[in-house]
Amino acid sequence: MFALILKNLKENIVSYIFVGIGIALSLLVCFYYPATGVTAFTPKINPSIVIFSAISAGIGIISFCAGFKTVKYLAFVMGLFAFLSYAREEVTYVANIFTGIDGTSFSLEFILTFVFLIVAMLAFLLGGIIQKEILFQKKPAAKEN
Amino acid sequence: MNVIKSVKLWRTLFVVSASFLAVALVGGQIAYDQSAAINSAFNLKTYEVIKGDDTGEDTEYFKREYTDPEKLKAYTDSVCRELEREGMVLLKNENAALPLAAGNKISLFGQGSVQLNYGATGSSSTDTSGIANLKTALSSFEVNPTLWDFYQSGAASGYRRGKPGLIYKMNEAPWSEYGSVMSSFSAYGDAAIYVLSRDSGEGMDLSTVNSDCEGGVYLNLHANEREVLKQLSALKASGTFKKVVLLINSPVPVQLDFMFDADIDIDSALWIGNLGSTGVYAIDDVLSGNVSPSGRLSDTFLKDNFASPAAATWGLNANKSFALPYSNAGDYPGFNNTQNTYAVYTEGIYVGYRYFETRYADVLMGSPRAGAFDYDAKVAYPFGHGLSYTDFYYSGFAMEEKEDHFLFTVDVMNIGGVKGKEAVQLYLQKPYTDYDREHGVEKSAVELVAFEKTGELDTGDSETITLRVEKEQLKSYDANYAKTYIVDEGDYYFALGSNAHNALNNILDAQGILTADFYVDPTLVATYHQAAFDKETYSHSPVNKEQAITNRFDFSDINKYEGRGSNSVTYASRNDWEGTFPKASEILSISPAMEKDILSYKPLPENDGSTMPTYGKDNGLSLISFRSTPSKPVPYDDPKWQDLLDQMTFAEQALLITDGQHNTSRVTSVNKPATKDENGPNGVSGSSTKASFPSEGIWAATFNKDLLEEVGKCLAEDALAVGITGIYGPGVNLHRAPFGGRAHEYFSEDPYLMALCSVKETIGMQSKGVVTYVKHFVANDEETNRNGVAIWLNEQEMREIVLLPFEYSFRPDMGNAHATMTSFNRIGCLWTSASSALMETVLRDEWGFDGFAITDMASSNAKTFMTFVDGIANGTSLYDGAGSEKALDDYHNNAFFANKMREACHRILYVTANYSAAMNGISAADRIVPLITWWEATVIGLRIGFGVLSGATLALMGVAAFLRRKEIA
Repeated sequence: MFALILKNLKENIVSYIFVGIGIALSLLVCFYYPATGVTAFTPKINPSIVIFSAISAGIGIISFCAGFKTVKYLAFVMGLFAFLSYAREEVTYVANIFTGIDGTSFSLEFILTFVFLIVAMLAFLLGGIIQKEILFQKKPAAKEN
Repeated sequence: MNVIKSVKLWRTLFVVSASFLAVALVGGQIAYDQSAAINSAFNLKTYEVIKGDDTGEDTEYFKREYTDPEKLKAYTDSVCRELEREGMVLLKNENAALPLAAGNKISLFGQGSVQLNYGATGSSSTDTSGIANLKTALSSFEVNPTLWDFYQSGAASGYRRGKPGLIYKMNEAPWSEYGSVMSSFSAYGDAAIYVLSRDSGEGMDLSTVNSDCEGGVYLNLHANEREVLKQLSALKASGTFKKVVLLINSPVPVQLDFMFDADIDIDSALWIGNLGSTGVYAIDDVLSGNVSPSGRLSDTFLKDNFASPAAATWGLNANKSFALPYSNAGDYPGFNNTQNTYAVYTEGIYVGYRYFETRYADVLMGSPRAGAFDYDAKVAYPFGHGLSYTDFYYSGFAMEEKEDHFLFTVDVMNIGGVKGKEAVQLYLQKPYTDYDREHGVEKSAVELVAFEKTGELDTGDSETITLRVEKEQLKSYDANYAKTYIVDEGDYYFALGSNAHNALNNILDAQGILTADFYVDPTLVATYHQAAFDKETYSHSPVNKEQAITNRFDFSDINKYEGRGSNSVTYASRNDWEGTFPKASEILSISPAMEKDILSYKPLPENDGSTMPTYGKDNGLSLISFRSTPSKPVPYDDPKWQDLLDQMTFAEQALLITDGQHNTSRVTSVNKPATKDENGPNGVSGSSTKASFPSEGIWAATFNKDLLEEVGKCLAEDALAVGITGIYGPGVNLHRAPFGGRAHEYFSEDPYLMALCSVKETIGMQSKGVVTYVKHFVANDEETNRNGVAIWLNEQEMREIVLLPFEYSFRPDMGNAHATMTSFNRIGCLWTSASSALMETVLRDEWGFDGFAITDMASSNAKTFMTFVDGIANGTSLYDGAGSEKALDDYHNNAFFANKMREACHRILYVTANYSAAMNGISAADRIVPLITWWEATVIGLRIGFGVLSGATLALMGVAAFLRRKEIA
């Protein structure tokens, strides 16, 4: 089993680099968003964003052991939920920037959180796409002596 | 079989469907969050009426007169044109240059000639496509086609005004571009007509720095405009043009210093404002003499737009901005731009002509410390000024005192050569006494207290005009000593005049003060003597004698506010013009007490003794049964209302209060239909006729109350044609200074003129079952920084100037408007909607307002300073934003808040039942049932579809993986 995991990692090193990026950014969001997410337009932290990011990172970590594409795609879907939850939370802020004409512009914190979430999500997706599925590879036929 | 085993296929389908499921779940929730906006944008019906047994009653509670679309269009077109005809003001007409003869050949100059200002942006924006251009509208004349093409598609077509980088700029073509068209001038030389246009819009004030006009000020001339006017004057001198006529196509006063320059020779000038959808035809009516102009200025037009105390403060501030950041704002990094800016209304009551005329009088009377003041150097055309093609003679002026009012009569005769209308203006001078000087009570030397317009009088015809002045108009607010309204002992002078300045001169002449050679008429002055100082008569509400009137706004006057720290300001006072006219910015800092007061989410009272209301009880009552009729009155405080309110669930109440974006939502438990409410002051958004009306300054300039009532009816008919039963207007904020970005939605610098305009429009509109949302309550007189800016002003200005138009609009004995829209700004540290002094004590207890209060657009600010908890707890009833049934769940267990919610619902239900045409067609036997809109059905469908697909593909992927594993094994 351990050999299979190692083999999986070895053969999918690029995929796991993407997954690593996804995990790192998802975990970063778990800390960065609660620290910077309370703004004039968002008086409370939306726990869904943290929860989905954490689940996404957790699934990403599991994918190191479970070499299925599907696991990484699940991480992507959770990342997508986190991203969409953030979009929902900030919709009035974004609307204000486009309609308010009061000088409010996109803050660095908003832009970074947005980028972290979207890059994490895409990293999991790319990791899944380029993953070679060694689990379903046929065992090579035994050599005849 | 291979398909079933394809892990890749099912995995791909699973990922795709799961992704779409995520989008449908969260995206759908975003759509639900914004349902009010979506339903409003797509004009969706959220309920249907299930008819019960025929009760035989007439359920058409409000009747429409114009159900035929073509007749409605003709009606709105005619009212707009009439408004412009009567509102445009002839400022100057040397040697009777106007009217022009029919068939005259004329040349139109200025980019404004081909890019007329019909309307503005923001809540008053309307569809201006298809409106006739000036060339088409001037059908009485022959317009120079070469010059027209030059502006429309030739060398000058690249020069267009705009707002690049959020700075208003004119970008007018230089004279050097005109070379190719000069040869056309002589053939069209009967008149050169220059169109001077300026724009305005919601969200920012007119640029006072960095514009490309002189001094960086948008309301000054652009250098190329000046050059063209000079060249036209020279061409007139050389005989190429016979006359030079100026059309000022701006909703606000352009600085008119250039009209008095030696090298600019303008024969006639007309202020035409924004034109609306058919106002352009009125220009032809007036230029051709078919209509004699009868408009009178609703604002003072100045030679120096920074000359008033309010504008001077604006000019002294950094970046010539009306608002400033608190000096120590940097010490509060947690504060955002809705919390850390302020503006001081240094002018006190001296807004517009009240300043210019009072200081003029004080200088003339030799008042100590009146200072150096040259009226003629500041004022181009006074408030109330306006010429006609004919002349009127006043005679037989008389005053009759009644118990609570005065009646004035005057005979007005047309002694000129053409028919016309005359705006009769009556002004008052209250005595400025030692008591006032000692206690800081300010008095304007003259103020408008009554006006009427004659009918169209033929030459030699006369009409007796009666003007009514209430005795309560003699009162002044003493915020410092009596702390209520007072009437000073002394002589009160009433004077007719052709404008404020002329009326004042008539009074000064009657007082023996005027010694210069002015045209005055002492027979147009009457006096009333108040024998004794009176601080009792007006110390209680006129509609509720139990309610004392006393200081309620000490918190918005930094000199009286308890938490002011070391802050203080100087307000303009006629007792010391030299010492009190603004000389520097008023710099304020945030004190510790202010820091607390500025914060939102103030704690609610706990255990205040109130009990939780009842929810969801089935009493079998229907809202329509609560509609008052003469035979079956159901007043607001009838106990039966409580039984109806008991039927509402908490979720229904939360939705009704928070989901008010351009509607009030349907409430099925009480059979309340949704109402559809729309912008705006200058025309109905989404109008089927595309009708829009001129800027409101033009409305006021008509001085015609009957016409304003007709405009109200016309707006209502236009609204009802598209199912709208509430209009966010009229706007009654002040023209405090010329630079207010939204002045096109407001009437005047004069609170009385504005008040009467609003009263009449409201009466007209509400007679049709369209509820007026008089806005923006209160002190939203500027636009830049409007979100949360703190307005500091004293209580005399607040009551006599800023609040008066609202008071008249709401009082049951006056306009009786049933809704108001509050403002984005604060007064003092408090958001206006979160001030119980304003929203409850003054609005309801003092004025007897029986309606509900909606916030201004709350979608982007509801989480910052326009919070539910602060607004609802202090008397706000409705939020102009997208809410939900769960929006107020955080306060579910607070009895105080729950009762405030119930009261808010009561207000909305009361107004809907009694005053809204939305109730038309609904009887007591009918039921309101909710409808699922197409987008809600789509969201549900997508969620179910992708949910099922995700589950199925996941399962199939598992099966495929199992089969593959088995195969491999």
